[in-house]
Amino acid sequence: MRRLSASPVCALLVCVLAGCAAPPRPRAAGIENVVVRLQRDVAKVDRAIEATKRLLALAHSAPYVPDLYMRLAELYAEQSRYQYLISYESDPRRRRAVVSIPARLLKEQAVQLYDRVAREFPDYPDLDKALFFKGHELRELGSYEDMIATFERLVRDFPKSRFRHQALIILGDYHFDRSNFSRAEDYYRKVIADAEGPQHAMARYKLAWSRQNQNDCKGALAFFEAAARTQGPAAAGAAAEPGRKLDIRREALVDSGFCYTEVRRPEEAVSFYRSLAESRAAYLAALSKLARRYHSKGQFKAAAPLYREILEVDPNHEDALEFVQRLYEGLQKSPSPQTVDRDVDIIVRVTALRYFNPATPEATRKAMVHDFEVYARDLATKAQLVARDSGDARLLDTVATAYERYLSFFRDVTGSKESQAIEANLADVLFAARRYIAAGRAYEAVAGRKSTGAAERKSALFSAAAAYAQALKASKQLSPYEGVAARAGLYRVGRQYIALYPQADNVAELKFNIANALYEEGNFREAIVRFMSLAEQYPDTREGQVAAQLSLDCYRLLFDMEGLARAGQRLLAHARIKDEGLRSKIAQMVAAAQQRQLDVLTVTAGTSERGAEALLSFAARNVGSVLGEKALLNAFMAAREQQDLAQLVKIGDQLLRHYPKSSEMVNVLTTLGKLTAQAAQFDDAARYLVEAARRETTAARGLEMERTAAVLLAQRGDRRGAEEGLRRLQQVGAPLALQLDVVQALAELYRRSGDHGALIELLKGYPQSPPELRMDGIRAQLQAGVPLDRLAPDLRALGGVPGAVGAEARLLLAELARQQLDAIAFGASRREDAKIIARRFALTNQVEAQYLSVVKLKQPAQVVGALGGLALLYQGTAKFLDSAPVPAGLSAADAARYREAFHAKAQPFARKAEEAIKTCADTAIQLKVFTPAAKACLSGQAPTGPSFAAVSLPPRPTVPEAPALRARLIKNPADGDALMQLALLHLKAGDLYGARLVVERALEVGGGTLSAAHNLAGVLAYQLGEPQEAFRHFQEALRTDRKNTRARLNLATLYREFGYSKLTTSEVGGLGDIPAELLRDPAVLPGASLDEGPAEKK
Amino acid sequence: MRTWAAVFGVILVASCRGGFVRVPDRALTGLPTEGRRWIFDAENAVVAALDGVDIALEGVREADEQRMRAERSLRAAEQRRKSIGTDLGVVAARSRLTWAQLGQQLARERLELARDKVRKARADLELDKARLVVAYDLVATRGFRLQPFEEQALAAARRVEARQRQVEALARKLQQQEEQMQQAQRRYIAQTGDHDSGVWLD
Repeated sequence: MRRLSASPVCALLVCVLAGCAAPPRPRAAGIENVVVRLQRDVAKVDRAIEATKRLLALAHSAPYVPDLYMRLAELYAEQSRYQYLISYESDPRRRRAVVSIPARLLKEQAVQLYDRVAREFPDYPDLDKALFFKGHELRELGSYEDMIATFERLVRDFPKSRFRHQALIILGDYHFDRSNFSRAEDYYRKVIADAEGPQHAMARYKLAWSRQNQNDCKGALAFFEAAARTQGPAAAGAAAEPGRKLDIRREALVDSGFCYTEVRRPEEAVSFYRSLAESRAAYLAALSKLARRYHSKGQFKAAAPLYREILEVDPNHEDALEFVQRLYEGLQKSPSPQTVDRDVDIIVRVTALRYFNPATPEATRKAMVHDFEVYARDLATKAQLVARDSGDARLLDTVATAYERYLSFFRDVTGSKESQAIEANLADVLFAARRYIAAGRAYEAVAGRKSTGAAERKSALFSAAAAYAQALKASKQLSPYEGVAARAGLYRVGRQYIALYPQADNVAELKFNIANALYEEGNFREAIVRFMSLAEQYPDTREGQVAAQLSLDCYRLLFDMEGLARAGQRLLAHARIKDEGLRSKIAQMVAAAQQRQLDVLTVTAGTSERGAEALLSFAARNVGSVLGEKALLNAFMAAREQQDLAQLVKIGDQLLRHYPKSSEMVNVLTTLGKLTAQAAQFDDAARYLVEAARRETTAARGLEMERTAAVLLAQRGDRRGAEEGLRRLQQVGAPLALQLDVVQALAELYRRSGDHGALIELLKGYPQSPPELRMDGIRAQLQAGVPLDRLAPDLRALGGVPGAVGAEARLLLAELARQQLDAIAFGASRREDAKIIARRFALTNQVEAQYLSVVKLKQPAQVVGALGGLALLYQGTAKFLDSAPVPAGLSAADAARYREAFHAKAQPFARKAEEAIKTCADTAIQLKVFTPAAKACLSGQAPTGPSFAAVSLPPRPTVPEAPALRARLIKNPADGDALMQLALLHLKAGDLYGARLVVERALEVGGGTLSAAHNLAGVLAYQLGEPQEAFRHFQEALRTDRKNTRARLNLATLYREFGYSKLTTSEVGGLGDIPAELLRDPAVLPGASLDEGPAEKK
Repeated sequence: MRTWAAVFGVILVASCRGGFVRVPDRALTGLPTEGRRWIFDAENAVVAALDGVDIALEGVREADEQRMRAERSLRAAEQRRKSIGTDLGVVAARSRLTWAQLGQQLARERLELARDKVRKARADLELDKARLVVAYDLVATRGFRLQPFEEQALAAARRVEARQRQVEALARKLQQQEEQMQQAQRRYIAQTGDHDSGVWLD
């Protein structure tokens, strides 16, 4: 009882103790507990086994019996696995080598069933499968001998079996595990020898390991590589299937690390594994193993790139912190400045990932930031030293990137104290790396820090400006944004620097850079202001000198030549700019600009109506210079093109005033002379010609000009000017012909002004003058009261001259003879009287012959004069006879008879005289002679002897301006209408000389105004005492235009004055009704009327 | 009410200025190719004149900026006055402001000139069309005459010329002011030795 009673107590106690000693593990229910799940599976398999057995019992001779056996064997095998797993899961230590009796028994049952199938159903189609499964179970049972036999049979009897390769692999593995590598390789190679299948990867992998174990790393690496590269069905077999842990390709890749370090070069590792790895994980695993391998071997240079690659691919790697450290260690021992940007980036990325990870413990975070900041800084600064020494721009760029990366975290996130120094380093490196814009910003940042010292700030500011300037030097390589940024930076920093350090040595350089940036930007106006300031502030420096030239260049680029010239002159006027070379250059630029400006203005002047004004303005600004002279000359040409006479005269006067020695002056003056003459401004024309003549270097041409000018002056009534011209011609010994032209014009002037003495005096100097002039001289002497007999020698000399001069000379000689005849008077005695009468008669015949000889010369005026002279001769003879004194002592009757006798003798002469007068009048009518003799004859009187019309003209009448008419004449010298209007204006102004010159021009021009011109020429000739010439013109006017009322009226007036009554009546009759105001017309002779006048005596 | 009055005022002013004489487009339908070339040339002149307006507008913008800079410079000079003890800086800055104001006026005048040139080019275009109507004996309108077109073109040309004179006069004035400005600046520099204010700093 006690024992019985004690037993339950003991049992309870044991249970309690057991419960105290090891509290029962809370067992989770269902799927969450592996053992429960396995037990449930075992139960399920149990049920399947039972069902299969029932089937076997029912179908012992059915064809599918072997299949049922196979199924049953597999169920046993499955249950065996479950049992094993239950044992395994139940083992707290989870040892693989657990002993499970049920599992073993179940396996043995399975083996027996497979044996049975093989034995009882030799034709079973899946016999190879049965053998394979059997061998497999035997292997797990540790019955290796049986296993080998089974697999050998499978391999031998079923060469096409799908289990053959697996069997071979297992066989190989058996020998491999026993270090019988050659035997193992035989089996593996049998697999490889067959067509590619799912086991090939495994075979290669095993072969690789076999080679590696035999120290054939080369062969091993080849098989590892082959295994990793396995494609197609083999790849499917090699890949890790769901639920299957082994991925042959990955394993091959990872396991190849050992032999890779022995066979291949480290630098090829990344590309090698990158090409083989099928996944990022496999790649990282392989590289990790390889890196560790190198690191352990002390090959840090080889390990570093691998760690770098791993961390770049996966900065979040579970071993990243360790790898960073190893990377740094490796780089310490084997520096790699070329990759410093990547290394620092890796450090920063790894740090950042963990820094921002909330799971990271604070202590770890702190330590990591501290250590890794040191690593990054150390790597970057050491790389900077290397880069600085080498001067390698690419390396510098790399270092700069490393610094930037450093600062992006350790300054911006963790606020490292060292970042200020790094900022300065960064700026230097960026500058050295020619990343100038970034360098400028970096320097600006350094300068902008409050903690920066004064000297450092100054240096940083200047460096920033220099960096921006450098960036702009290679502006073609900059993007538009970069260009703008660099310029803005330079202006910003430059302004600060100049404001803070105006006296710094390098301010000139900085200012130059700013101005140059504006110049390069195309902001020329702003650049000019600064370049000029620079040039004036630092005239002795290189910057100042270049700035001076560039400021002018800005103007050139703006096409502002005037501005350029002005600025250049301003610089030249600057006393501190002393460099001769610079001054010479500036002067050249100014000269070229002015020339260019002049060219432009000249071109504009040719196209614009106001172009000449611009040139004149330019000339005024450059007065006294060659350019000013050129401008005036060009303006002259432009004005000439535009036929602007007023402008031409203005320009010509300026040229004369400012450039009297200009080489072009003669041409200018000649042109002006021609144009002013064309515009009927004869005074000006003469003045220009005189000036031109004085400057003309060619003697002949100069003399010609002088002659023309003098003649023109004489014709204009400028006695003094003409005399001066003649004097100059005399002084230079001009050819006589030239002098005589002037003499002739002057003689005409003297004659018209009634200064006979001057005329006589003038001609004394020219004894060889032409007959006409000599005759003028004789006329002048006669008018001056010189007795005719004193002129006889000259008259005789001229008597042989053909034409009017010879005829006039003869007529005057006849007059002299007649006057001498008239001096014969009766004497005191009758005897002498007879002699006297005889002598008188003889002489009368001689004089008559002289007059008749003149008549024979058929010169109208002289014929009429001779006939008048004959009348006088006859009248004189008749008078002589009638005046014969009665001898003393005769009675009254005798005396009367005596007188009657003489009177009878005188009558024939008196009749002859009357006939002569009549003939004279008829001849005058016939020949239309308008001389005093003709007038006398026409009035029935004998002429009184030689007489000359006396004309008195105002010496210098007012010249009408008439600019519009003159402008018309400049544009069209053949504008007859303008000429006529101008002539009338001259006439109204009392300028007969000018009017006559203009009319002569109108006569040359001809055209529609020819008749009017002749009429006006006639009026002028009449007023100048040349009625014969007036008649000729009036006749020409009417011949040209029968309806010229003025000419007809003038002709009638002339006729009336000279007593041509019939002709007067005829002309007046043809006039019809004319308006009264016509009689006051300047082109109508004074005294004109419609009266027919007295009839001439017959 | 005021708005309506303003609108009527504008209309009245516009009507007082007179209309722009145009050749009806239908009149030119029968124009041969050679004649069309003339018109194309004249139209090109209008386009070129319009380009000129754009350029002048750019000039106005630059002149406005220049004036703003000058105003800033004046303010800075006024602030500096006490510290440097002379008025010359302010005088120079005022001179610069006057110069900038003149530059502004000139730029605006140039803009008006450019616009006048556009009007002239358009008037020339219509005149060319009218001449072609006459030359090719085309049918335009009843009592079509060349004279209004000639008068219109002449008037436009005169406006351009008058404006050109104004521009030139202003340009001369500006140049004189520029010289005065430089002299003022030189006096300031001579007195203070300060080359930077007004050039490099403001």
